[in-house]
Amino acid sequence: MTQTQNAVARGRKPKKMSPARYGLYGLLVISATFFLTPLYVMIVTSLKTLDEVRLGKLFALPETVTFDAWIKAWSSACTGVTCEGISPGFVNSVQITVVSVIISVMLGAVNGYALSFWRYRGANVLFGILVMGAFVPFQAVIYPLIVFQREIGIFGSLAGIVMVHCIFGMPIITLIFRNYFASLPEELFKAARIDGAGFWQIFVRIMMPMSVPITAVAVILQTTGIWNDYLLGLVFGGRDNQPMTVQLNNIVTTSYGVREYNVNMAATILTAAVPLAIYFLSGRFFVKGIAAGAVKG
Amino acid sequence: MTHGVSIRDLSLSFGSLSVIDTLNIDIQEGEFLVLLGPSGCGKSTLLNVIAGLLEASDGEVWISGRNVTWEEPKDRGIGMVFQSYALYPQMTVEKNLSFGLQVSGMAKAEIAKRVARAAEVLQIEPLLKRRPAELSGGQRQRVAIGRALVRDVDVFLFDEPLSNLDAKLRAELRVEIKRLHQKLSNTMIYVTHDQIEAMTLADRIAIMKGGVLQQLDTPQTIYSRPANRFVAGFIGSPGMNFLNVELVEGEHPVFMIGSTFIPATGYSFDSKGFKAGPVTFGVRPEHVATGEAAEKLPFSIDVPIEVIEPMGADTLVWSRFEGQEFTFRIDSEHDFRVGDQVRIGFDPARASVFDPNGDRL
Amino acid sequence: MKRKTRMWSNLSAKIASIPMLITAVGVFILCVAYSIALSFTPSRYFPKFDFIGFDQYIRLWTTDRWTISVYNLLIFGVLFIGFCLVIGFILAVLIDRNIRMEGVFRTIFLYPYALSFVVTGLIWQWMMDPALGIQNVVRNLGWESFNFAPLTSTEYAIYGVVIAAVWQGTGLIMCLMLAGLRGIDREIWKAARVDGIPLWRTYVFIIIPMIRPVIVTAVVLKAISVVRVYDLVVAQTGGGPGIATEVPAKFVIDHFTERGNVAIAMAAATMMLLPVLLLVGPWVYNEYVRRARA
Repeated sequence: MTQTQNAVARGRKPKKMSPARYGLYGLLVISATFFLTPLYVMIVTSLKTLDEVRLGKLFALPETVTFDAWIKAWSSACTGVTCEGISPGFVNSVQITVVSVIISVMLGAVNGYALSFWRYRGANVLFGILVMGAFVPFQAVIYPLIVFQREIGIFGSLAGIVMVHCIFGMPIITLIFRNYFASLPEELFKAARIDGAGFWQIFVRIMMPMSVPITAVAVILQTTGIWNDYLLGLVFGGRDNQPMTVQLNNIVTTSYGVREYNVNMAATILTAAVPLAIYFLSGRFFVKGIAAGAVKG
Repeated sequence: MTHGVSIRDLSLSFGSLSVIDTLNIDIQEGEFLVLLGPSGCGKSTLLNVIAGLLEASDGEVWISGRNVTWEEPKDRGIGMVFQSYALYPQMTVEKNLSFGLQVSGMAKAEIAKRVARAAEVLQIEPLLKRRPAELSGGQRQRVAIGRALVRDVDVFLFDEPLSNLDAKLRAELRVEIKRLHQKLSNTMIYVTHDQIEAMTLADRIAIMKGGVLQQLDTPQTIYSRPANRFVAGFIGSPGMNFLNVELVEGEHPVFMIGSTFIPATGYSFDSKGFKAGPVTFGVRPEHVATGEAAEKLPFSIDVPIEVIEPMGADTLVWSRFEGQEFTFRIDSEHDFRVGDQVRIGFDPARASVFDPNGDRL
Repeated sequence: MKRKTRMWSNLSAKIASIPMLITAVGVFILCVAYSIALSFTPSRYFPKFDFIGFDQYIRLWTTDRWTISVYNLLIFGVLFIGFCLVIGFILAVLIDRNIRMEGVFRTIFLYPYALSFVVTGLIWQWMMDPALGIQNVVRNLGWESFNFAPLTSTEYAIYGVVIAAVWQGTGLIMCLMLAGLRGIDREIWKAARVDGIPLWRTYVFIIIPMIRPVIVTAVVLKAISVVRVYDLVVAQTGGGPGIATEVPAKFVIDHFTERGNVAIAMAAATMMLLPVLLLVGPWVYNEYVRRARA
């Protein structure tokens, strides 16, 4: 038997697509279907008329594509008392996200820098408390914060919600920057000190220019995190600063009479659009953010 | 006649990148062959192909008289030792040794016997209950060798097994591997980029570059008669001096360098023969004599000393030979000073001469 | 004199750390302490510091809504973590088997993680709609008795929430596991092949033990997100039908907002804090404080 084989065994073994390989791709495709179906259903539902939705063909493509549901979701769906669609929520979310991301990333960068290069006494303990803070359930902290913000009169304002996002974003952003700075050579810092540079000079001139990629990771992480927040927006947003997620939930739950599934799904897509766009455009950075910020859960 | 391992017209390419190009090597049963070369020369790739961990694009691999080109690694009759040891970290040493045998369904008694024997040969009996994390680098490497040993195979493959160890331990384990080979007399194929390991361990060395075999010969031949300029430069430390000279024909052919003539009569030209014109003349620093000894050699000349590097056992002197850089080794007991003129000499018979293509003349 | 210079030497660093100090001490210690203190008072809408001992805790544990919440959290937590780990690991292994279009599959498995829980909850609420969702589609295909409308049943609704959460959260686990697998020395795989160890055994006996730290991290992360689960339930079921899918986080929020019972809310929040501290305390100490010292 070996003899006949010997005569031909040369070079690459002829490839047969093995059953295991088929199984592997089969499983991958099934899994991909499971993960993609909801997105697909959400999109096709939003493009159908309500009559067509009622036919109950969940997976069917729309017979006539219409963006009416999108327009209604954006500008005239009822979010509780008012019927202005989800657009005011979009504006609020943009405001909250932009301001919170800028402040929280700057704070986190400074913290991480101070912790990794200027190890003053108690820095480790401080950092330990902060990391623990990343795990504390919001529920254990929210009420005292409400009391505090009422006292100083910023409860329900943009400042109030931004402050809360900065507080809850601080542990993870600090952690990301600290780990990044800790990976930089200490000599860099020492050389700058010998050259006579001070705390802020080193930070602005040397550290920040080197931190562009990690800053991008932090910005992406915070942007998706804050955009996707519901609880903090609900509690601290007051009447004027309700983010998109809260208004989205209001649209779906406050439907008088007929439930407009297509409008609901359109509103859902509109709310999901920003983080999805960030995800698909930033791929690598997003995954890095996950690895770095996995603590956020 | 059966060979331990035989590689026939072997090629491997990834897409358009050729890593091994039509390679032929026959390795005798019980031979210790070292694959040597700079990183990226294809030596590790070749070893992986022999092991069956990579598929050849073309050609055949024969082990112990069987064509194993299409066989799984476990069926080839090989054991392999890796650079990172690749021990299973969550298993004890004993389990590391026995796991493969257990999986193959071998009887418990036989497994115990083999583990005991391997442990004895490698003197790791006291370590059997420990985990890899609790072992030193040298101990881990011994266990890794043990894992190959229990498989009771004809051919051992080593993939840079000592590279992760410090210099002292490396020297110790080198001797142990040599002892092991003497005791077991299996065929061993050993990949390294360290020429000392290659010189000390090998029965024969195969020097590779860019996926092509440069020379396959005994360590001594490779050292004294390198087949080309690459081999000459790669082997030996400090490296061989290469002088650009002109080979001039005549009744007494000479190598002409500037206004100096080195007699070529003593040099035994390769079968390719004599070819006048520009050539590279190679002299090893350790083949250069100084002072009175130099006068007795067929060629001697005065050169200026530029830099002196004491290295303990001996001293390396940097000088200039007709404007070209030239180094030589002297005894560490010397009274040379920078700036001195010193008499040096060498025997052209021990030199190596290469044509402009780098091939030995 | 010496002390003084030391104090001044990194003054800028200390000043720059004030926001961090305020957050760490002011929020994560004082606010937590304040919450815990309130749980021992009879506070209703506003804080009122008369200490009444453990009364609120006794009331809490005799409240059906709370015990159901805790029970739901346990079921949800075990299933969610279990499925995420198993599916996440399998997907990571599949992707690690040198497949074509690896990037595409990875992107597909991870994208739900970019979506908010509200969006996740609403999508799955629609998919599980009893009249127009998956159930209806399958029944229209001819399988009349097909049942898949968990959200309408008090008994199964929580499993509907689990499905949505697994859909959203598995990608993260896959990502972590894949990083773990990619971090394994390639020579381990070669050694196993030379030893003739079949693939599944290599995974079970060699690879899984090697990525144990990754698994521990994954479990801790998921456990934290389990304790926090709130928006998903609010969006997908609103806690219903009835109180069938209530969870502790929702219990707390509802009680200090619309129900105006701060004290019992804080007692519940303290109960939520407890497992987190027990679970995470040692882990944080190990990962950050001790390692930083070493």
